Amino acid sequence: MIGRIVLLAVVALAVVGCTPEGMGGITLVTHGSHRVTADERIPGSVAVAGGTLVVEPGAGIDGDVYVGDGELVVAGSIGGDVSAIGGLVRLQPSSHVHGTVHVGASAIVARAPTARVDGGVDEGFMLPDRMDAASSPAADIAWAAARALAAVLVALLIRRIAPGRVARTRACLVGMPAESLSYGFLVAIVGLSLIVFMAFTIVLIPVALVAIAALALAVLVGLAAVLDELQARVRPGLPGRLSALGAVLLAAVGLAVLPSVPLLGLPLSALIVLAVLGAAALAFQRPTSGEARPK
Amino acid sequence: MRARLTSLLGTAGYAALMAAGYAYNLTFVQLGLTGLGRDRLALPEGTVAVAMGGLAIGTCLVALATGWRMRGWRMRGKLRVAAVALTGQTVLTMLVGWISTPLALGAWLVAGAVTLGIAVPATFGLATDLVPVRWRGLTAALITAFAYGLAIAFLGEWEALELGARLVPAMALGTLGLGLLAVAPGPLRGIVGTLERQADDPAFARGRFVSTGAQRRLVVAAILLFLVFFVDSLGFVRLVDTAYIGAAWQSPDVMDRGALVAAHVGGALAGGVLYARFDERLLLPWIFGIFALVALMYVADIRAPIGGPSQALAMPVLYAVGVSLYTVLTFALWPDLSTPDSITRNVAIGVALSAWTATFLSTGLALAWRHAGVNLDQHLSAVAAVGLLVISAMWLRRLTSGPGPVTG
Repeated sequence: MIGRIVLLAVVALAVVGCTPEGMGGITLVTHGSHRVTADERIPGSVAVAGGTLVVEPGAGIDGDVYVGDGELVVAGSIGGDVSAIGGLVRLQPSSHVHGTVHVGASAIVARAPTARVDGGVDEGFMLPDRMDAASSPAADIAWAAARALAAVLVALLIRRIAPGRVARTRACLVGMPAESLSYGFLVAIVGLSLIVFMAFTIVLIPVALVAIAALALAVLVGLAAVLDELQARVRPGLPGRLSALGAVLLAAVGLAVLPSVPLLGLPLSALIVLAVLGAAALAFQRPTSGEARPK
Repeated sequence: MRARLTSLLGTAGYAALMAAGYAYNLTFVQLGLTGLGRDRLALPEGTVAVAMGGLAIGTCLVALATGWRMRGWRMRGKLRVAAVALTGQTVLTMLVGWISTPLALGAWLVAGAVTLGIAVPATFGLATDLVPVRWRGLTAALITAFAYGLAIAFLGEWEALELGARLVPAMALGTLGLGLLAVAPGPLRGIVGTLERQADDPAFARGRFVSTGAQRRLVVAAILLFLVFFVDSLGFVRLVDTAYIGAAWQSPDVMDRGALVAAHVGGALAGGVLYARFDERLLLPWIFGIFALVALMYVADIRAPIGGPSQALAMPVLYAVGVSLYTVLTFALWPDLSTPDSITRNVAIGVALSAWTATFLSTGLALAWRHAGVNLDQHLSAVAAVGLLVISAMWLRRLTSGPGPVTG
């Protein structure tokens, strides 16, 4: 039943995503030097992740332009916004931006006095005021602890909602750790590639968002399974609800501390995430002849 | 303890032999010889393709005949045949520098088809003698990881003369080792005897799937792996001559090649572990899905109106994972569908008929499409369509067949 609802939601979102704007697609510039010459128009949006893109006088881009790195030189027109979080944007005297120019912290925008920007320039785009405030070690630790605790609480909620699925995931994780890790590797590498691919088609962005949510949910189900296992392991030493509290604390501290352990922290965290993801995905598989199934 | 150590040595020796043989096939046979005909002899691309197709068909026929003839052979017999074939192949590799005319290339390919065709069942057939059933997934993973690691880590050009010069010493050493084992003089007699007796032990001799409709499963697996090789080659043949290869498989950047080796090793280990616990039916949809997704990603990259071929490693890395997964199946599945009596025949059907014939047919189709004016993006779209079609058929089959009995 849940599977059908998810399928229906995916199809509905894919249909909703088929808007005229979405059909234009996105053009990605990653390296080299490229020119949009006079009387040439790019119908959709453009993302500059490296290299140089020059929009000559008389040329235009109908959609938005995103600059992450590299250089954008505009002497023609941009139909939407120009959002720069990095790199260099040069607005030449003949340029005309119909939307707003958003300037991020690491971006440099050189604007000629006669360049037209209808929506004005937003200098505060993604400026990390809050990040600056949180850059002290104490704030970093507090932020990591809060995230870890939030993840554990969501996992507890999932355990209450779907105890059967969490139990199957735990069985996979404990009974088949190497298989869970291997399956997690496949799910992660293919899933992330698929999500990136769908995001670049624009039309499938809603489906990509659903896929991201599904991956995150699978990791949280796996985390709930880890909580279950931790609780079972600390139970002999602790009475009643203390074991549950102990498991929650252990999981939260582990989540908060492990990634920041030098050298081994990040690889270990990645392996754990892959294993819990794989266990959740394996538990979701319909068993068929010849395939082992967790008891 | 001594017997277990001997057994472990046998498995390690088998893995080393197969990894080296597969790396030789990937680099020297598939890429080096093609380059030799095209660049050194200046033959038209179509002629080279026909010559390579002839090599594929010749190898396939010789392998089938040898596989049938060798049914039920003991390990020593297979070792002798493998040693003779490897000696012939080493001599042929040494002679590659003397190829200066199309006729000489043709003669080399005929001889090569004979030695390769004999080597396939003789070497693969050693699996039921040397690799215990429960280790086959991991052994296949190690073979795959080392073979692709060797092929990609090779920093020179994929050119026959350079490859040959580097490969001949290793091949000569391997030939000597195989020859010694085949003849088994004094001190080696005990070891070879212990290894040979393993074929009578069900832990080695009785493949995982022998009792569960092995014949039908062999046919289905042969068809599905034929499709896997077909989809893979159909796409890769057209990518070989593009800038994508230079940006990934032949990139001068060590980090790029390292990422590809890591992807191959990761894919191989994941495939080996999952195959050992489950079976090929879990992996096949992933393989077809990966090839279809990679083809679609290349199509999207080609159709981007500005910007050259992407240097992003996402596509080659994903592709490497898919290739490693099916290579693991190639090394593990046929022995698991066989007994010592049937392995050479089954391997000939599986490896020669599925792999070589599929590669030949897809290469021919790719060339025909190119001559018909099919663009690269149209070509890769068709590859993705075939991959998605096979996945759809498999899922439909699974949905309509319902859940089978659960085994543990």
